[in-house]
Amino acid sequence: MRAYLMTRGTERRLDYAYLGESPPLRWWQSIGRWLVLEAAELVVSRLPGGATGLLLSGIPSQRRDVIGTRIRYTVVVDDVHEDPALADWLVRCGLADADRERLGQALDQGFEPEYVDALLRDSGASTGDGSAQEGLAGEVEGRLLSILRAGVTAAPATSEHKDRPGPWVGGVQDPVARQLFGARARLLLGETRPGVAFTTHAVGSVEGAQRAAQALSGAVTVLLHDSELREIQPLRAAPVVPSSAVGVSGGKASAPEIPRGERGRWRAMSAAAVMLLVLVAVGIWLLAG
Amino acid sequence: MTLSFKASMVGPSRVGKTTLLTAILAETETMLSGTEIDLVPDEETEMRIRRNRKELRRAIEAREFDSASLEGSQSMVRYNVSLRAAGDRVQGIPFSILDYPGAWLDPAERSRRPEARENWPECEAHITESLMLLVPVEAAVLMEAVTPVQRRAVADLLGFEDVEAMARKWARARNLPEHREEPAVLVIAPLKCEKYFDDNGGKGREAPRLRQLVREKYRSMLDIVLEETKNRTVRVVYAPIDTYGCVDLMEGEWTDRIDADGEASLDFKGHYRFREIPPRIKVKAAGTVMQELCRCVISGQDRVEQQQAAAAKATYNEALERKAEPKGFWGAIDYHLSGEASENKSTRLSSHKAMTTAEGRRAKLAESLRNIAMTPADPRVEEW
Repeated sequence: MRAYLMTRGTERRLDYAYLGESPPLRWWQSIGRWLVLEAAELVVSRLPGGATGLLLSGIPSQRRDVIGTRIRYTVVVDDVHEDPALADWLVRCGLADADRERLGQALDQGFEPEYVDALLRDSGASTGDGSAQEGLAGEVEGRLLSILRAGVTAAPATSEHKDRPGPWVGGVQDPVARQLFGARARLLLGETRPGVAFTTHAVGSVEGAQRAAQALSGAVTVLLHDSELREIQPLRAAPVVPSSAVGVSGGKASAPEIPRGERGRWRAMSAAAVMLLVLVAVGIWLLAG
Repeated sequence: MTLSFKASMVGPSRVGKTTLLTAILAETETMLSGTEIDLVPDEETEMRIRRNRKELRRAIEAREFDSASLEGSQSMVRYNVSLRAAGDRVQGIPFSILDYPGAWLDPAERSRRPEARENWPECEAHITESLMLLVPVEAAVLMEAVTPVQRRAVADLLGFEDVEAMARKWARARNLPEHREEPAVLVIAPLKCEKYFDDNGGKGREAPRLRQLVREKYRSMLDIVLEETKNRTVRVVYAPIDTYGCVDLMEGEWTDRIDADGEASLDFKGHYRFREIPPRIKVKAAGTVMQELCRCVISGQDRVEQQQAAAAKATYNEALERKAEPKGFWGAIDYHLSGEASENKSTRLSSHKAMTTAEGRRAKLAESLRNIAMTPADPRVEEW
């Protein structure tokens, strides 16, 4: 299991970046279109190869950047199935504001503003010292994992719910949908079937969730943040049908498709047919004569 | 897949790219009223705009408006919008505006961010293919820099070097033969200009100084664009925007920081206050940027239609020539019996129809452009 932390520093130039090491595979990119990583999103995924991942974004920090905007954290844990209790706690953080706030506070305590700024500044300075960089990455991960694990021990155990089979969409305001989302997340992490469960601020309708389900493979579960959806709706997992291309590309036009007469194709056949007709006509004329 | 026209922004981290994007996309109904044009965002774009607006509104309602900015971007996002004639239900002209973390603009920052390294080629392609390049400028950084050390910090804070490098790439691409006939508009948009103007509820009278400073500081970028577009013209638009219209900058605070080279430098933070309680958002001049963008997209589409009409006409003429050409006895028999005659007829009919349709669409686009032209531009906005 590997854990990664993204945040930004106070100074303007210390933009959002992973502290220490970055995840080697951005497995959530396939659903990036439906994620607003600046907001509180939760993604739990099992890839076809068996690897698992959990992403939790929009974790609020008390730190503010130089212009006064509140800073956030994003936590990514690869192979999170290796620690089911931790996965369970992170899923709860993704679904409950209070838990996410608590996680933010814990991260603030473990990653003081000066430390974060120094880490981001250091990552900017190319020291060329690989072992020092590795040591730094290890230190960040160690701190992060101990904060996350401390949260698990502090949190009460979650009651188990049965999974609802098939792809579905629900609203984050719906307690049943939240519980079932948790059950789906546990199932994804506990079994081997590939699939993804995610919350989204980028879609607010069942149709939007349907588009996402059609574009993704495996079991898809979508929880809408900005929606009045009060009950769970099934989704169809269909293959993506490419829409017809329009002749526009950055201002470039493609010529319209116009059917044209095929000139050479029947030429030989028609000439032979005419010849045959003439021969038949001559033959008839000769016979008649 | 539906490909679309493109527009992009170039600016460093925290300069206000997402804020500018939200300002120009959020008020589309008022901006385009009377033009008989609708802007229809896709669901993801609509949700993002709504969320950004909500975030700003929440800050205003909470009277906690010190930052006057949206949260910084973490990833690359395309805002997909379609331009349609009002009431038209069919698919309009699609275009997309790119937003991305400002740090990605800096090659040194890019090199140590795997996500930036991975996505930058796509970002750069979007930028160079853009009909419009928007350069957001934090007006207060320019205007409140008084001492020599503060003025020195401005270049870094507004990322002149990276912005110029990107503007060069954009201009160079616009000058390529395949893009030369397309529109090319460069918009320099100072943001949060409330303090410096007196035409939107404020008392500032520093508009000339802002214009002069922008001209001075972005002269080198404008020279680069001019130099790289020798074979075409680029429209340069200066659009100072009141992003909110309900706040005033009270004080600019310069804080110490260490720059990328490890040297001491300054950072800037504006402290704002509300003009009135309860505050009312009154965005100013963003509408004209949207109008410019629509004009750009419509002109681009007009060019596409023109090309399609020309291609259809060429096909029609070729078919007509084939029909009229002497074929000889066997040729004529072959022409009719092989089915070529009927194919030729159907080609002529379909290409004629394509020509007429393209010309009809061009007439509609011309009407849309006339409608935009009739909508008065904000007096603050100038063409340079």
